[in-house]
Amino acid sequence: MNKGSILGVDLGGTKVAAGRIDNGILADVFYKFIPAKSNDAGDIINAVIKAVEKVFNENVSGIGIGIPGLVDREKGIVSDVQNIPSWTEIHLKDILENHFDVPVFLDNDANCFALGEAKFGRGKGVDDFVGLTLGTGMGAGIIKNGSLMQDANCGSGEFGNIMYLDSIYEDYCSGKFFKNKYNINGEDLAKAADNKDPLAVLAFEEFGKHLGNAIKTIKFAVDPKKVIIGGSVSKSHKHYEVSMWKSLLDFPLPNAMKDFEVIFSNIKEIAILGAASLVLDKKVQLTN
Amino acid sequence: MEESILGISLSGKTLIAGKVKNGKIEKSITKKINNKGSEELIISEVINIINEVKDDEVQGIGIGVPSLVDVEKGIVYNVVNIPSWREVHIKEILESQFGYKVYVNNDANCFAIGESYFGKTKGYENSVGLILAAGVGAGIIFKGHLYSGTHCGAGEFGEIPYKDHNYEFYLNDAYFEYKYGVAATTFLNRAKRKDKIALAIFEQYGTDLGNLIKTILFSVDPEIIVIGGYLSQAFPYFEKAMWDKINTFPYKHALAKLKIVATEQQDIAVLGAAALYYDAQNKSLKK
Repeated sequence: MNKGSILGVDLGGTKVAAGRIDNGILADVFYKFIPAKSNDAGDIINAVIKAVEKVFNENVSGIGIGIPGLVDREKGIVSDVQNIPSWTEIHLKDILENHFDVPVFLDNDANCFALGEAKFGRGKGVDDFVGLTLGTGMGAGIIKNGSLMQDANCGSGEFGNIMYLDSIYEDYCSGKFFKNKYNINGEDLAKAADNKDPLAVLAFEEFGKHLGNAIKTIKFAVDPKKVIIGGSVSKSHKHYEVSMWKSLLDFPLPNAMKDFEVIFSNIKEIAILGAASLVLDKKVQLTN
Repeated sequence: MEESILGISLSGKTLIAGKVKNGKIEKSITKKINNKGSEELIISEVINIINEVKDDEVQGIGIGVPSLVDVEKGIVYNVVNIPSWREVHIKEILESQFGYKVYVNNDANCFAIGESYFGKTKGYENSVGLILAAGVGAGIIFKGHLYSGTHCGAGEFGEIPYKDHNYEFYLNDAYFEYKYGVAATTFLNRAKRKDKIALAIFEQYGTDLGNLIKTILFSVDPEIIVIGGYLSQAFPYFEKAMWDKINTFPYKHALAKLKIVATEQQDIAVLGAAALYYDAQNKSLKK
């Protein structure tokens, strides 16, 4: 019996992506739109099941799911999911385990990103790092010895919610900053900066300064060896990397800056790989 | 924890050494030292106090110092209030002198692991020990073990920007003197007598502390936070304002389970230093 495959599911506000990983390689991916605004939670559950069925086979030993919301890891219950109002308390683990008859693990999407980098990406072999996702929001997962921090409520790494200036870091260090201050999305702004538009260049410089401040706060809180940045805003890093480092350099503990690195994710489908990594992470924790 | 361990606490002028066994301090000595003395002089003070407290049962040493620490190598850097200790290889020095295993960490981390073994956070897997005194720092316990970070710099929540400065500025004991021209001790005594001004000042302190605690919750999501240090004595006076602020935390499910308490353990500095040894032993058993 070959049980060398694992399955990862990335649930977003508009679509679900499911992928099967055979012997460490992403072998099959399926995307499906979900009726996110449906009043019937079952509609979305069915869409998730259909997507998983497309890539599932008898070699799959477990399923991991990344959720843009709060998760009770132990009980496998999902609540308060961004953009899916009908999901108030869904026993997703039980539902999928009954359907597919393999173990199912849930975690929030930022934790999955960090874990994906630890198992498949640029965090391989790095003991302590923070995986930071910058997209429509700002989230993070904390990795210690290659595994996710096992915190009390799956709520660690919510650095985006920490008070900053007149608001919180997320408003200055995610796509929200471009939207609120310049009324443009990050992608269009990056195109303008590519064409040397002075206002766009300045906007990214400002962004980099705020991001540097957020990373300092992360260092004070958990002192990681590296920060690995992913999410849609990471793609335009060449426009804000210099100002980010300028902002980081006044960190008051110079010893802690010597070997510190900020790097950017370069793995395609990291959300699926990260979700699938939950299956691997669980195995590691059980054998410890 | 049947092993007899020496717990050493060095903070400026005060040097304490205690022999800890089964969670009890069997014997301890407190000494006033010259914190402006040379590096060698203060090292010899530490060696002398160990010689006075140790006996044949002792199997290891834990030492807590207010500084940045290279935990692996046991090096302390720029120790607070001891100007001559800029880089002291204290682990190597004590191990070669005594032949025991020696573990070194900063005082906030010792406090957190001490409370986890012997105090208010015993039995909780995820906790934070927060010190409010001349400095504001914390130690983080994840799954029953101390989490020090890469450079022993985790838990430095006091350094995070807040209002015009950082949290430490508003929450350390010198702030009372700076802002109101009156020492924190005076306000503490006045609050005990229900003085309205002192109570209002601690209410403001509770609001600022509540914001710091929300920052800690967003960062590391503990089940319980234990507050220590000199200003933990004001806990009854700032508790309500602190909770009013914490209750604005958006994750109600996590909030419902959260506990915040003040330390009751007088000897936590020595116990916490000794707990470094037990924490390290438990880790190596796991591996």
